[in-house]
Amino acid sequence: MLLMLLAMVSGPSDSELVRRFKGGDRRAYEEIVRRYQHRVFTMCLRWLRHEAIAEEVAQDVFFALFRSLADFRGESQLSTWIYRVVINHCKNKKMYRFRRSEDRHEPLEGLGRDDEPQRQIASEGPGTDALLHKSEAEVLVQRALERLDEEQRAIIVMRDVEDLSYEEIGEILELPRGTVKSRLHRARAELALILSENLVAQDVF
Amino acid sequence: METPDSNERLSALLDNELSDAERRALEKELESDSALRAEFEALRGAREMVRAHGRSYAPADFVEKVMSKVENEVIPANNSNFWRRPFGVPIEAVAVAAAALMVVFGSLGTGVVLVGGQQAVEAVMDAEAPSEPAPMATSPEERGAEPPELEVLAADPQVQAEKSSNADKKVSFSEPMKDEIASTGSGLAIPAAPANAPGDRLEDETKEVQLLSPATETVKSDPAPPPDTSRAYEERDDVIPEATKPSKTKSPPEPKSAPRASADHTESAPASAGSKNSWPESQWTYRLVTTNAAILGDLNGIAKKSGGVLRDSALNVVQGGSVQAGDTGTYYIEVDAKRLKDLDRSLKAFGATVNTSGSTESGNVLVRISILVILQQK
Repeated sequence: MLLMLLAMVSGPSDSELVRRFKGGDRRAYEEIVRRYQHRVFTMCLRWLRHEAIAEEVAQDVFFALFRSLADFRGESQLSTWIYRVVINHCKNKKMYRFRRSEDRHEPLEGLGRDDEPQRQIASEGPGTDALLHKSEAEVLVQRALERLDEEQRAIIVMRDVEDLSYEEIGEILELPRGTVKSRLHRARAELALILSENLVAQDVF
Repeated sequence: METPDSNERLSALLDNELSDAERRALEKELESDSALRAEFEALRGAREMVRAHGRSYAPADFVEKVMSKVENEVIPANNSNFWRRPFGVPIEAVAVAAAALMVVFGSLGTGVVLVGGQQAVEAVMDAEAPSEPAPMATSPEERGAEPPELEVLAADPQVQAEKSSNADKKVSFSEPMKDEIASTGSGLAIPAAPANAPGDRLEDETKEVQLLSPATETVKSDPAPPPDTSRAYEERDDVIPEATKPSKTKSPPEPKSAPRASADHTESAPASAGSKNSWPESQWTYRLVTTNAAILGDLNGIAKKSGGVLRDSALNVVQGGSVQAGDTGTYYIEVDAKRLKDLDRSLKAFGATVNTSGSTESGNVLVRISILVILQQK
């Protein structure tokens, strides 16, 4: 009874949706898209830092998912698998844009240390206009995240926003658990530093 | 007392990833070390801010857009039964497994030649094989500029006229090739091709491949060719078919002493008698590619030797280095048509040979190389 109630509240499980999709159920696929759209979009946006491009890539992720879902055998979680697709797409997009000089990077001014190439911002990020509708805290967080490198952003989002375990993150990024742990900490420490700098600069304290 | 990993332990404490003993020890340290405590609070503050404000939301019409595009562009046209049929063995899996390597020569104004072949990548690696198909695929623009070229070609009246005369020509991959992949002992099983039933998606895509047969195509069809569905997808100006790794069984891995030899491939390669290709027919074979970086390095070298350039890489094989059995990837080499034979030579030197090819007249051509990793070696 409890399981039935849980199912009614949370909807069908991922594996059930995949099973139904394999049976030709259009609504199952739609439900998967609905269920994962924000997670996929968030990761794309964090990685690519451009809303329109993030949306485009997020859509591509679901098209790719559509084509390969029939192969999904449930040996890993659907969410983990989708994140791997997302990361691959984002990397591809990044490389493509970089090669086409659409994604040039400039070092941040005032950061001091030249040996930190990861502290970069894109010449075309979300931009001030795109952030106007967001709260001050959201803007602070987004700006701070932008100053981390892609992998750091991804790790933080996967852990702190999506609540994935170290093991799941490791599976997605193909990293050992210990590496995830150290990189996550490094990313958090850097983010904490950036946030504190920004908060001080904005006289929030 | 701070230990070398005490900082990492702070994050682990936040994430409840410490053992009870570790947690108690660290909490004791935090009580007595104000600097450590401040660091911990800063980390916790950062985490809470990200938790509260790190989520972004897809546009309100996102699902509609995806569903609309899936049904209008991704699902094969004229297949109203698509959602009514169970998804059997994915066509992409058959295409990728049986036809590990395809090379497309797209030359502006001259025609497109779609070449079937096979490539075997033997990976020497320690990582375990992935438990699911390797996520892959990227947008067409990232795969190079071939879609516009192909569109131009399709609009060419001469090409259109020759399409009909080539109606019986299919891009195909031989059964022996497929059998050989299946028998590598790598624990991979090649899915059987789905039945080509009327109204089935397979039939639609086969037709599409036929329509796309280039004017200069001289490849003869095998008696029962698996469809080149990845090609069909490409022509739809959409995403390359998802990596469709053959299902992995738990059978023991192939012994180290039994690597696939390229000679085996050549022996099993079917002869396409009557081909009018300017290049000899043989078979693609890649060996001993250990990492994605190695693949890229190899292809870069091959491209340079023929004056070409590795234009784009879908990097689908694996992100981060390791190649695993079942991974797939797509790479592109742009080369002057006059240097195609040099490219062929370079590929042969690398251990790969061209199965079939077509003539090109002038200009640059884009060579698409699809890779399937079919063997994992410890």
